[in-house]
Amino acid sequence: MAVLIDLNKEKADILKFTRPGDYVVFFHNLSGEFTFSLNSTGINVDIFGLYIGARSSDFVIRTKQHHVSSETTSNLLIKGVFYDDSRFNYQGLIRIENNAQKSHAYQKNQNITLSPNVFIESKPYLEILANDVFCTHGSTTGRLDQNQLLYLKSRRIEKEKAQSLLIEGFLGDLLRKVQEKIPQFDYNIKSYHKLAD
Amino acid sequence: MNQPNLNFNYKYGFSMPQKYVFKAKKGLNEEVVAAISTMKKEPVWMTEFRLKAFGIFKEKNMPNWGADLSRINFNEIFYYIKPTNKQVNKWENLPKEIRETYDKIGIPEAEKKYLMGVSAQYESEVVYESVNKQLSKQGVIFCDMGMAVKKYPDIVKKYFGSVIPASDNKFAALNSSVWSGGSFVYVPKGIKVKLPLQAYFRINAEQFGQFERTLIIVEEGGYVHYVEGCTAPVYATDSLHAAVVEIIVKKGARVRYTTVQNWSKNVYNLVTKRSRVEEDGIMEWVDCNIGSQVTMKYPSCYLMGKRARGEVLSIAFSGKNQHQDAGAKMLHFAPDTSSRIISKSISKDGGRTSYRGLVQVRPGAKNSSVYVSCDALILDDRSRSDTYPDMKIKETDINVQHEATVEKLGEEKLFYLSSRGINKTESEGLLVNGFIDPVAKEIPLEYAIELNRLINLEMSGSVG
Amino acid sequence: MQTQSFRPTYAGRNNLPRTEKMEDKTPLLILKNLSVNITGKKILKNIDFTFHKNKIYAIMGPNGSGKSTLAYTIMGNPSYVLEKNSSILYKNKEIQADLPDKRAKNGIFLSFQNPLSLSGVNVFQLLRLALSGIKDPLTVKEEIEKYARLLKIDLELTERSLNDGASGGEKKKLELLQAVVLNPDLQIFDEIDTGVDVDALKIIAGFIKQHKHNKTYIIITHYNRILKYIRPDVVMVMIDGKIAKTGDYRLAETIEKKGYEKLRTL
Repeated sequence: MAVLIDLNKEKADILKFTRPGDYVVFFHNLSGEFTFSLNSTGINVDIFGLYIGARSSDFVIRTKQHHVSSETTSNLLIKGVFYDDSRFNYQGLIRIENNAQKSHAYQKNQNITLSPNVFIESKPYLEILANDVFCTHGSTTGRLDQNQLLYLKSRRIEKEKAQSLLIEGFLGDLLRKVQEKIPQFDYNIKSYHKLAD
Repeated sequence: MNQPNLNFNYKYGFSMPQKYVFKAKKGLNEEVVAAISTMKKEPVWMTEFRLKAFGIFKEKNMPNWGADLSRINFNEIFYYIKPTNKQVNKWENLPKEIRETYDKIGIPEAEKKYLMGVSAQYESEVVYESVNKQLSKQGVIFCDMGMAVKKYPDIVKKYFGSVIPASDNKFAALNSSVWSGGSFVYVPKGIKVKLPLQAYFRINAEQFGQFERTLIIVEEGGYVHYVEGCTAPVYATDSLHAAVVEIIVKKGARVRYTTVQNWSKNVYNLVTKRSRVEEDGIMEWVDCNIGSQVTMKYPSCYLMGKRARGEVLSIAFSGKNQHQDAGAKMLHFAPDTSSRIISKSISKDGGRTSYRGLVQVRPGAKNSSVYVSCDALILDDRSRSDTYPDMKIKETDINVQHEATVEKLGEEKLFYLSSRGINKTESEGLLVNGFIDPVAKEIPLEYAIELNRLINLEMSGSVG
Repeated sequence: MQTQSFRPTYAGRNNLPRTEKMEDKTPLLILKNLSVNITGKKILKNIDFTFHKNKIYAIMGPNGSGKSTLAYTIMGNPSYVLEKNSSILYKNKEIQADLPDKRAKNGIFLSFQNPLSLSGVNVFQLLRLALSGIKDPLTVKEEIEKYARLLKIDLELTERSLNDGASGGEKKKLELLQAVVLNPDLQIFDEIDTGVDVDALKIIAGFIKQHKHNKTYIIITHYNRILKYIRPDVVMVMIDGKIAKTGDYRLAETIEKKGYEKLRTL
């Protein structure tokens, strides 16, 4: 059974994992600097961050997936949707120390921009000092998939509705991933996203 | 001893009669800068340019990021040395590893000697002559930068320092004040230069100068491919190389700049390379870093015009005591622009490779697309690999994609190759060459072959 | 006394009892008390078996029986751990401590069940390196082209990254191509008939048969398809990491009809 850590409630900025097991960290619209330190063999951490930027919200978030022990896995996914004049500045570091061999680390940041005044800065950093590891990260920033929009419009769904459908699908996908690991998690997108006005 | 051929010098503008031997002096001040300009008999505007740049150099701070540059002592460096003193002029005086490498990668005797500055410049003279004949028919100019300042002042004045001003960074300022050597290439409208222009075609004993300055201008619709460097290790007694390369790609033009760098392992290689790309222009940097102790190099494209395209393909290999801190910068200023960065790096024996990249999509760069892919191989547990990409996006209707992977050579793949009778070292060499193949195949064939052989050598640990 | 003259043994072709002289039974590969652990789990359990020169062996068995493990063990996969007192003798020498490339150089070849893609490395580069000092590059190139044509492999596939974008059948054919150019004495084919369409299988089987002279084959098969084209001299059935039964080609037919269940040792 995985353990859920709600970072909005926890208020901790360094999470040191010392017991083997599966952990899930979740946060929403959170700014700050957070370190996830994996200090024992057999630790698996899934980190999920959800961002919805509207009006002039300004998020600055730094995360560090720090692998200190061998055979540890971390997997970070941050998805954001940004409207109006919102700003999002994300720096994510994966650091694998020399004796954290046989570790796997993943990081993905996906951002959808819905206004020309949005500013996104994304810095996915890697510092790898061990060799028997596998590590990958990815970052994509852009608008909604135009093909998908076209498809929905061709089904007589008007632009506004199509857009919000896609956005909810995009964000909902992350929430479902959390719920797969934490059955009691509220993955209803409506709890987080109200249509921007 | 190696005496410069007086006639030859006169012919190519190296007007330095033997009696005026510049006394090499360590350290840098206004006097030295002015003296350099005087020795070269430069026009006043260039002397002023140098002095101004020196002022900036004094003020500027060292970069507080990147590789460790703390061991550079500006006062211990010779800023102008007669070319013939710089090259090791006896084959036997070369360090053993360098000599062995030449042998192993099969460089013919004559070329070996040429690279060491030992041979008579006769051979290269002949090649240069014939290349130049073809080029001048098309109106293409290809010569030493020093000569261009005197022979083509109008063009040079217009563009020199326009892409990389002295104020850009400390090493650009240094180069701007003490530059010497480098290439000047001018391609007129609509002309496509078929033959790749090679740095060693231009006759200048300062082949491997410390502070080379290159300026390439390609007018509308033109095309040129410039190749610099060589895979054979270049032994340099000086340890600081701060070069500047400026490239102007006009509307619809295309430029490819290929570098294969294999400086000896005592060198700090700090290079500022940038290109300004106008509407429908294409700039391609192919950058290969194998040598030097420290390299900091980020070929850049400023995509100024609609539909401009930039591409950086890079390979970095770090062995013992090396740090390759390299990458790319793509700045999108105009709509419908696109860029692509492919980086392949390998670290071994305690080496460290760092990819450092900047992608900026500015307001107005609507409908731009960017794709960055960085893959790194770490071959043992003493080595290190970093990836530091930075994406700053302030526009919508764009698509920016970045992905990176760090891993070791696959066990299954090594076993597969082993099952075919290939031993471990050779298997690793084969896989590493396969890993860099997407970039290596863009390098002109003769360099690519040598590059493969060099990588195999580095892999087997038989190169110092 | 009747002297039995030597007759080439076309396995089962004319239904005559096979004449086997002493010379025909030279041991090539001997497995003694072979037990193998993978990540702590015992997969092969005390296997004793002798493979003789110039014979065709078929190894059959349900999923998880250890067929592939046996093949990988003979080839020398470094992540497999052999238990003490396990030994493998090849041409009368112990090879269990040898690295795979040494075994390959001594004449052992394994056609992988799932051949990997090697980006940036094509079959010519691979074989040229494997045969450096043994065959010159030009010969290697010519042989690749010759056998590619015979195997009906698109020549373009040989110039591309190995197995990149190749179909199941093409990958298996490329394995066979490497086998014939490397020319080893002992060739192990790990499920060369799996994931391969009928036409490709016919070509592969025909090719293997054509080149069997002076070769010892170990054909591992799951669906027994290839045995329709090549008749084995000996059939070995593996279940749960052990040899459950051995026999001649008729054993294969029995299994085809009745399945493996009857053979499971209690």
